[in-house]
Amino acid sequence: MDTPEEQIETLARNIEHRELLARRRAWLLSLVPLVFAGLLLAYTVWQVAGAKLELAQTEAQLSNTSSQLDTVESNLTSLQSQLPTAQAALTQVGEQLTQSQSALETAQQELDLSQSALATAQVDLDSARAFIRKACPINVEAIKEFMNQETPAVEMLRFLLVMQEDNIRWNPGGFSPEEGFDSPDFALYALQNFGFLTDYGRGSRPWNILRPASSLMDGDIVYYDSGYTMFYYNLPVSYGSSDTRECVIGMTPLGIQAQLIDFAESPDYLKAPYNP
Amino acid sequence: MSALTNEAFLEQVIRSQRKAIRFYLIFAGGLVLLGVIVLVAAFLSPLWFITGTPIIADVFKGLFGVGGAFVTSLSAFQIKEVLNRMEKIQAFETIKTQMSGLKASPRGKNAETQKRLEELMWKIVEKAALS
Repeated sequence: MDTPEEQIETLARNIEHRELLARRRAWLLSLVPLVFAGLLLAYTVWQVAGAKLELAQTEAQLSNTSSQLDTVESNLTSLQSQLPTAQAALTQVGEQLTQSQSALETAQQELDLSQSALATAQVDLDSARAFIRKACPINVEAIKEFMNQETPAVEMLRFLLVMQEDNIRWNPGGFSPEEGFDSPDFALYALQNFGFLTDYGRGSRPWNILRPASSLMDGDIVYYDSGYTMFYYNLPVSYGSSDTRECVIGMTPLGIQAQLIDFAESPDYLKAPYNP
Repeated sequence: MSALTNEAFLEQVIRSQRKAIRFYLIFAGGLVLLGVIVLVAAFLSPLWFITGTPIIADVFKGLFGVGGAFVTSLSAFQIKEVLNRMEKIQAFETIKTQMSGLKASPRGKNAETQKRLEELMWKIVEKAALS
């Protein structure tokens, strides 16, 4: 059993000990929020430092972008200053293009005309080939005896050959050796030249004037659906030969030509005024 | 337990309480000083103006201002402890005065009163000093 002094001493020590614990508790209770506050502030400072860094980077980027923008603006200004020149050049090019297009159109028209002329020439060539294929060559030697006859038909043949030598040309609008003829008008002109017909002018068609023939004699008229109106002759092939060839002589687009009777389709016959 | 012993014990307890008051006062003063330093740093530190961006400076000012106020407010707990201990000291001083008065009067007449005071003192000690 402790004495009262010892008990008092123990009690005092307990009180001191408890006070010490209370102080430690006060330290801890104050320190914990302090530490948390410090940590939060440190974290905030760290975040703000990061934000500062980002801000600096953003400012650098902004500066860079601004610099680029200035460059672009400068380039744009330069381009804008070049724009009138470019527009003038463009206008010039446009005018040249228009001129070129006009020249091209002219050339195209000329080409079309040339092509048309070529097509016409091709048609004429084809026609000429057809004429050549069905040509009836007149050999003067071969028809010498035939030509010695003094008949109106032979007279007409001589006249036709002379006109052929004179190169009377094809002209649908003409009615004279100078102007030329189409095929029916030439036949009318030849008949009128010998006085067998009178007072018929251009466009008077022989099939409206002459009477039809059932058979053909030298000097009769053969006309075709295509409008050719030719004089018929059955000519010897060679001198002294009994072989003959049925030919027709008259105006064609190639001039006065001697053709075989079948050189065109659907022939009809007209009796010449000088034949019985 | 004699009256003399009780008086010495009361003196010891009162000294202990005064020592604790000093500690808490110094602790509270330190906290207040720390909070004031943080507050002053919040409003006067040139560190916030390095980047020259008022937004960041304002953020720092606000955060550190709140932090300083918080740290300063922690001193209120220490003040509470100080007041608590002052009340205890006041109680012990009262008991000590009463016991001194009884010691001067005849023992047989005031034996019962002294005994009641001792019981009261021990209750206070148990409740106030040891709780």
